Amino acid sequence: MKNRFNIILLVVFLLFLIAVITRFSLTLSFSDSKYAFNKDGEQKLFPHLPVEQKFIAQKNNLSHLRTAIKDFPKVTSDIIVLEIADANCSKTIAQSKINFWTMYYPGYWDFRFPTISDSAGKTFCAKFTFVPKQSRTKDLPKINISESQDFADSVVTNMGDTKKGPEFRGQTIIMKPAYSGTTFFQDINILIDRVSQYKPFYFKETYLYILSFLLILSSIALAVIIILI
Amino acid sequence: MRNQILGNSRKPFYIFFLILATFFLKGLFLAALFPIFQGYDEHKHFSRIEFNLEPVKKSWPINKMTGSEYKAVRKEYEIATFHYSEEITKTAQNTQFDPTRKTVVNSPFLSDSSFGPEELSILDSNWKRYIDVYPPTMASHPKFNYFLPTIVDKVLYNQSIFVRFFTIRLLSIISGCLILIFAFITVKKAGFSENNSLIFTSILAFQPVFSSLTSVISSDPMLIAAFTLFTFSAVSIIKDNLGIKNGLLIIIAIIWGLLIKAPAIVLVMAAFPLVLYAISKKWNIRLVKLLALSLIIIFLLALLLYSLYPSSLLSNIGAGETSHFSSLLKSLTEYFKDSKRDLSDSGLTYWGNFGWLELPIAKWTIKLIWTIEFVALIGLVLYLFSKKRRIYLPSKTIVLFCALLVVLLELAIRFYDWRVFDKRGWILIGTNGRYFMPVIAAYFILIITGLGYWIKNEKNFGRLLKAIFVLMLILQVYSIFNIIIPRYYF
Repeated sequence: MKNRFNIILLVVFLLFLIAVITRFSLTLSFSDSKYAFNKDGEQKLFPHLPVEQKFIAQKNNLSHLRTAIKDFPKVTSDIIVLEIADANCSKTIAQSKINFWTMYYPGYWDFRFPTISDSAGKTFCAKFTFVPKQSRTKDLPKINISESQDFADSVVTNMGDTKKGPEFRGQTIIMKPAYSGTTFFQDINILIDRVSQYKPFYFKETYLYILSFLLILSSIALAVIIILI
Repeated sequence: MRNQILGNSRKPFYIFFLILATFFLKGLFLAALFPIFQGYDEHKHFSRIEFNLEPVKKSWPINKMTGSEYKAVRKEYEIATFHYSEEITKTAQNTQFDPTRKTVVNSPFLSDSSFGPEELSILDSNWKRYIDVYPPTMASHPKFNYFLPTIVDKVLYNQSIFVRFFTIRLLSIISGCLILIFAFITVKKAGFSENNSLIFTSILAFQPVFSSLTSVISSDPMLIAAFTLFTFSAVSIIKDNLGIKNGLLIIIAIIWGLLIKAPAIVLVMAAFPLVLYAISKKWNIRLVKLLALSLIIIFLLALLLYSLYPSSLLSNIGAGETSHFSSLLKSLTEYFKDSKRDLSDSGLTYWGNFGWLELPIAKWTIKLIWTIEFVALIGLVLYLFSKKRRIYLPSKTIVLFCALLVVLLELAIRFYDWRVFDKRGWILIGTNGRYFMPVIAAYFILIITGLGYWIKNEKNFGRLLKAIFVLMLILQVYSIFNIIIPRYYF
């Protein structure tokens, strides 16, 4: 009986580890970091009426678009669909959606879509559409926007805002395009490089690899020993 | 010493060593993850440490401002408007301290290599390491807090700011290891079996906010260590007696705590009933009689003080000229109204909110934790009123004392918060969950005892502890991989 409980606990722990690694590897991607946004306002996402903006991808392998959205979801059936379209906002290249089950990120919702490998230097159009199960005019999700001199040329188009819009110049949706490496291990290398920045020598590169490896090893050993104790 | 703690068997020693080693490695990893100055108030603590290295007689011109002039130019999210050294200010600016701190949607600018875009310019700079505009901006905690960090900073004086800063973070990790040692011997003394004590310590080692607090520059780890040592001495006094050893430990813990931060006054308050209990046990005097006698003495002393110094006493409890409100009742009512929201924030910042408190765990996770705490609370109350003795749980006296310690700290923090609210008219300090971290060992004893009440035997109690450990480990891993790493590096 004791062994059976320990085995169940061990299996739960291992399943969880696998789930974490899987999820981590799916979300492992790196965004353009040279943005300094202010949360200056928001654009309401009216049902079935998209909010759009063009952006230029800085690198190849565009695979995620992280977007600051608030008041979502209000009900479990709410969905927001993202279409990545061409520079004319007409032809859809990739699509993604978020819903009640999409895992929360600090500050951003993560839209993941099939990797666009030759994305560097190209202009894309991001179209966000709110798709509720039952149409409503209250409790709508909002996309955070930023206004500053850095985004003077930027235009946000909100098809649902007929009063002040649909075009809003000098605004940008708070969103970050993110790029993946070609393999999981390449992504880990990029992550280690990023963590190494602005750190002393003993928290850079090789030392960080060794530290991470030792930590994972000792944590798993401790977990197994404690469970089997 | 090792045998005293772990008995003669080697196995628990190796497991305990593994717990400490894993905690230390995790602390190093977290210290590497949090960017420079992104721990709560770290820049202020570091400024204080650097200030301690300045000569007493300054050999450079100092520009002085009055307090009100300084207040007028200061802007919360512009570090350049504060009075830090040039090195701290420019390093912070070059690592995007202001935009990263201001909103969770910003993160430090990163390059494609292992050196940040401005890292080499920071390393090659010759920025001033002293403050030349007064009043200087730095943490104002007692000097003792910064004794060891200042020594480390002095030894590494010729190294880069990154080496100095991150090495000082290691001191917090070491404090964390000390806390775990104290926690282990506390629960073992309280009556947990050796295995259960090891599992309890492992649970503590993976508490996410405790882990993050003990990986940044902060005075909290030392305060938590002092409180945990006090808890151990208290449990020893309750289980054994008020001998010289336990008496000395209590005094050391209190003095240590008071040298670090004001909340340690709670230890003085908690020591009072503890000493009464020890005296009543030793000399067979009824505790109730002793307590009544002591309260009468305290009341008479208070009356004497009041007759000698009435106005200063009154102003200290929130009436008179210093109060923003017309009466004490109005002040208290408004405070309770304004601080209701703080209650849930306290819970969130205690269990999972990191950095500048803009990195919370998911809402459903904290609700699950609150549910478990609620079940534990009911179990605790039932345990205290039950007639059955559970030998694998701490005695009711120990549980009552732990509850007293937790309640005293809660009251002290909220009293101080109210005092500041009463003077200003709005909540300035708040009741951040990390303020309650000092009693983490006592608090976890309460939770685990409360949950343990629902379990009928020791075997299943051990299983319960293992399940809690797995949940805590899951929470820690989730915090690191889904909150902290994405926040700064994705």
